[in-house]
Amino acid sequence: MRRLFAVCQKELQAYLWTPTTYFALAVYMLLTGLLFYTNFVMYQPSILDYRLVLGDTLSMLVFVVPLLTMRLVAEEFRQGTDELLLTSPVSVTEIMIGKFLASLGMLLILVLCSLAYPVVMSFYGSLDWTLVFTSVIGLFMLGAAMMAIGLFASTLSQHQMMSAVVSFILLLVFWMLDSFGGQTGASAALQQWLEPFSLTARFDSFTKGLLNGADVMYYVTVAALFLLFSIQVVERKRWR
Amino acid sequence: MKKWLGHTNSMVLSIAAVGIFILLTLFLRSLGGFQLDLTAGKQYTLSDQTLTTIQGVKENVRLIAFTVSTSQNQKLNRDVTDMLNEYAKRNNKLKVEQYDLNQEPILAKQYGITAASIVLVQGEKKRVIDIGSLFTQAQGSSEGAYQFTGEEKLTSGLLALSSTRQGKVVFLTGHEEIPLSQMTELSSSLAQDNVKAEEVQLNQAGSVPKDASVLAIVGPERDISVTELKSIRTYLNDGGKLFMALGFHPNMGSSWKNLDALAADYGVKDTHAIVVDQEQTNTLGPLWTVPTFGSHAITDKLAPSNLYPVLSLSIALQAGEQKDWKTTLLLKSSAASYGEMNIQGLLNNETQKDDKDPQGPLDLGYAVEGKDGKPKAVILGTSALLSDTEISTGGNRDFVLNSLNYVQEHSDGLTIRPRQEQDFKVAYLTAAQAKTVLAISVVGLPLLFAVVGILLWWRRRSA
Repeated sequence: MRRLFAVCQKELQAYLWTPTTYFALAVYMLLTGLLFYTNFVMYQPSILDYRLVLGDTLSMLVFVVPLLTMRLVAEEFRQGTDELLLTSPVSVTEIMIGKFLASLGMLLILVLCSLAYPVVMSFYGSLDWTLVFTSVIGLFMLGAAMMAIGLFASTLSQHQMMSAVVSFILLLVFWMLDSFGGQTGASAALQQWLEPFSLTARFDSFTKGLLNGADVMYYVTVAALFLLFSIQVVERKRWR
Repeated sequence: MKKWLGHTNSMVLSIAAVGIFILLTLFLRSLGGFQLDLTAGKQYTLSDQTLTTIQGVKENVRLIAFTVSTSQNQKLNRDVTDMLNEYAKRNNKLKVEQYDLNQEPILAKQYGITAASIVLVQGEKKRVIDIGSLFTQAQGSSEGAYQFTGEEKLTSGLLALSSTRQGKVVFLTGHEEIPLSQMTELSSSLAQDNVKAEEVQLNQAGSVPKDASVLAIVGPERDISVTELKSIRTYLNDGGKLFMALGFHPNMGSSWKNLDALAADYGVKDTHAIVVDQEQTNTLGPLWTVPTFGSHAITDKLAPSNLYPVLSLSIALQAGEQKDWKTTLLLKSSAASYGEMNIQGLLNNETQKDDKDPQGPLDLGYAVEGKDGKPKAVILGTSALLSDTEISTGGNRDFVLNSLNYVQEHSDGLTIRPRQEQDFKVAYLTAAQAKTVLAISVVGLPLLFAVVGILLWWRRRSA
């Protein structure tokens, strides 16, 4: 466990001392800020409901998460430090969980930054803080699942850009699973099959003030699944 | 060999993990309502009746919402779709579809929809619920508050889809009763339960239709004739059921001989005294009363939810001994009330208790059942609560629907309490406030991170 936290600490420091992290956060805050401004201010009277703002800003995660996760493992491969890691006493599982926990640390910063919007809204009237609270939990869980997907994408290549592109595509597919298919016939049946696996469809209940067991477990299992995939991909290096 | 084993292990583990993930996701989703509702009014916690109804759906049902999107009704549309999704979560036979009515006019036409509605489709059967009817103004609440009766209507709709039963409530006309055109909310609530409502004028029809499950006499102002009384008695003696709601009329004491005789057939005496209640009343005055309930299947589910009817100009009734029928008290006024016998005085606004006036509590309604325990009649000393103007007040609608369900021997009548909702809270921002929001959210925060990023980059470059 101590080795796991050492990896986590090292990765977190790497995050905090990398300019890319802050540029990614700046891009995220700029885009979500613009969406927030458009939703909250451009149409008067302003509606004091965090759910209306969050819905639009959420999609920005698809762009930001790949930027935050692309270097996690790809950079090790590129610099050749993966050899050192794989031959060290730290197990691959510990390394990957440590990196994942570090990415969750970054996610926490991002979620806390997003809280700026409800705080700004609260200056102009009373806000339902229960909904904000459950929405923030939902945002963190959704982000955690996405970070795990990003981590997995990062294990697939030594090129950070390639990892980011793969991560973006994977996230986009999971994001839009409930949009594939139509309303009738076979395509409706396909949609019904895919919809439970969509990242976005699971988020709604959090914004309504609900903590739905199935939704919470979905995000946890997605994160666990991609963490396992990541471990398996890195383990393969041992057998090469 | 070792390399091959390693790859195989990895592959098997990954495939097993994917399988577990898929099965777990589908299994947990099938549990549906496994959730913690943290909203203030437990807005997403469905009633036991609804949950039983949802679990009872065995065939695929499409829940199609045709909404009209305007800035004013965003919140209302959201209430509707949220509710539909809560239902769909609990049974995968229920599928939600949402369309904008203005963008899908052809599809809407297929279902005969011209206003925002929910259409429930099960095979060839369909039910239409008008979305406008789901929302009513909340009384005595803060500005922007409203009541949402979506759960009751949708659950009724689902029950009606799967139900094979049919009913017909025939409303007597010809004596200045409250016409069906003024009881449209009641008719639509009955229709959701596959119960038709139609009017009959006995002078024309000659007899009460044989397929009528109930004969309803609501607020007659003139007495029925001897011939009509005979027809009604024939219908009732042949197994028909009676729902009688008497309303105030100045000449009721002298001219309601046949109506009184009909009530007396079931051991109920009309005292012709108007209830004046200074205690259990609302702000409208002493001629309004909020009665308490007697213990009966009609009222037992209402009392725990505080769904008490609000009655106006009620007539006090009395139950006498009757060998063939058992009468059970449904409603009574407070002990502080009395029955005003001086109707002329009442009309001249002179309401004062004297020796002739009976002291409260006064009985206002009874359920009547035969020796076999089967429902026969509900007789009320009040009628205005069925009209469109009063049916939404207090627990009026629940009480009336429960009464009609009881008398028709429909034991699954719904009494789901409407949800109290709050519209969006809004704020009008000044130009200066808008600039502040812009400065914080679009300029300040992104710039902060960008500056930190640039500083780090600069430091690395110069290191």
